[in-house]
Amino acid sequence: MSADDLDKLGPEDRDALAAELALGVVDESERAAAATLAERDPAFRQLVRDWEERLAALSAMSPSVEPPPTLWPLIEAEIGRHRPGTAKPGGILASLWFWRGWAVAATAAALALAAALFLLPPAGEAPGGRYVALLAAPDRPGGFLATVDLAEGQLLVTPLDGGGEDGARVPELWLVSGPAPVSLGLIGGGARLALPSAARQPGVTLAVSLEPPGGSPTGQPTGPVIYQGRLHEIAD
Amino acid sequence: MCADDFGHGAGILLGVEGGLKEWRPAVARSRDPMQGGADLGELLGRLARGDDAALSPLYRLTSAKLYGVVVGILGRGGEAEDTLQEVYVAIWREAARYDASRSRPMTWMITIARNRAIDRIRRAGRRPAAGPLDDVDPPDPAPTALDELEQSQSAARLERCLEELGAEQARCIRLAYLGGYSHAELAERLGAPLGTVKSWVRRSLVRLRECLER
Repeated sequence: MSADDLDKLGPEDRDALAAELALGVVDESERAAAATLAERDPAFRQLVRDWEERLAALSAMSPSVEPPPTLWPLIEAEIGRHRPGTAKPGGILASLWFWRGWAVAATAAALALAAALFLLPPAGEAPGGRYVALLAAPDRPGGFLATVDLAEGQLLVTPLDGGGEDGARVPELWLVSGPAPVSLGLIGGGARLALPSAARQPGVTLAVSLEPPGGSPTGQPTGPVIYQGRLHEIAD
Repeated sequence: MCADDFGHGAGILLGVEGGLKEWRPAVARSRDPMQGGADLGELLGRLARGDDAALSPLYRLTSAKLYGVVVGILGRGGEAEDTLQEVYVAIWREAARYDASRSRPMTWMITIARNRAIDRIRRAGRRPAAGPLDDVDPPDPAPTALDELEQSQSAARLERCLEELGAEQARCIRLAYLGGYSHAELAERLGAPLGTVKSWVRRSLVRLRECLER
């Protein structure tokens, strides 16, 4: 049924359709037609609104459910991206699947990290141990192992299983701890990068995005975030 | 390396939330959104005037209610989270179209949430999540979080009117509203012919309206 057909309905049927639309019970095609009618016919739109008000008390039966705390930053980042003329720091966080997947990844990542540590060359030695991050994701093979060389103030990045090769795009590493991500450099094939002294501590988050050859043209991540991980201290 | 190191590493990796803290505003736990309709209207008004900072308190006040609405239709998980994200972006984008003289703030926002969730479930062409809907019978009469007098009164009146419809018809209305069931899905779930379900729903809505206007 099209919106034109709905135009021809009598008053009772129009009200019934408004009620069914507000209830949400109509199937997809009728729903689309009714929505079109509501868009162009203010009187019908008001019938739908009146029904929405009548039925709203039913939502009292929906229990309140706290959304996960990761959701608000995503919404904020999303709005930053939609806002005309601005690129708000934190757009890197907008890939919901990535953060959501992380909890699942953690167990696998911990296993991979434990395995990787056996293979590690001696990293930067420092009183109290050394810092390591596994950059991985649940739904993407490969990853990187990042170890901090405290003596040199550098980050040694080693690809695992090809390091997430993606044809034309190259992996770029980001420090994600201030108001906006800071590029640490390109890491395809592994790299030794300067690490700001403030970032040489456990808990610092690193993320890998896919960027055009030569790296992000904007100084902020422009492609999808494919891996992420945190530095943590490994006692010797 | 010993087993302790292993466990320690896993614990730290799981604590990835800490990495998000830098961006997270102080979002306190939601309180009852049905309270303070004036506050919500004011926040929507600020959004309409381009004051994006109003979204954070609006989210704090309403996200648990709207997420509950979305979860009722889609079940918990990624789809519900994606949908809630869309809902708040839509609220932010559409706030200028909100007309306080035509609907209450919470009704307007709940409608956006329901429409997004129902759009998604219809597009996906599958049965709505069963979990939260296994129990769509009348709610416990004990006091709920919904304390606001007017709201609880209108909920109570609606509940009375649903009771007048008869059990099966009331169940249809609840499944449709709270679970996002279509006519066809209702027919399947209730094991009744499609035409029968359609006329039940239609008749129920007419009677509901008569009862509410009494």
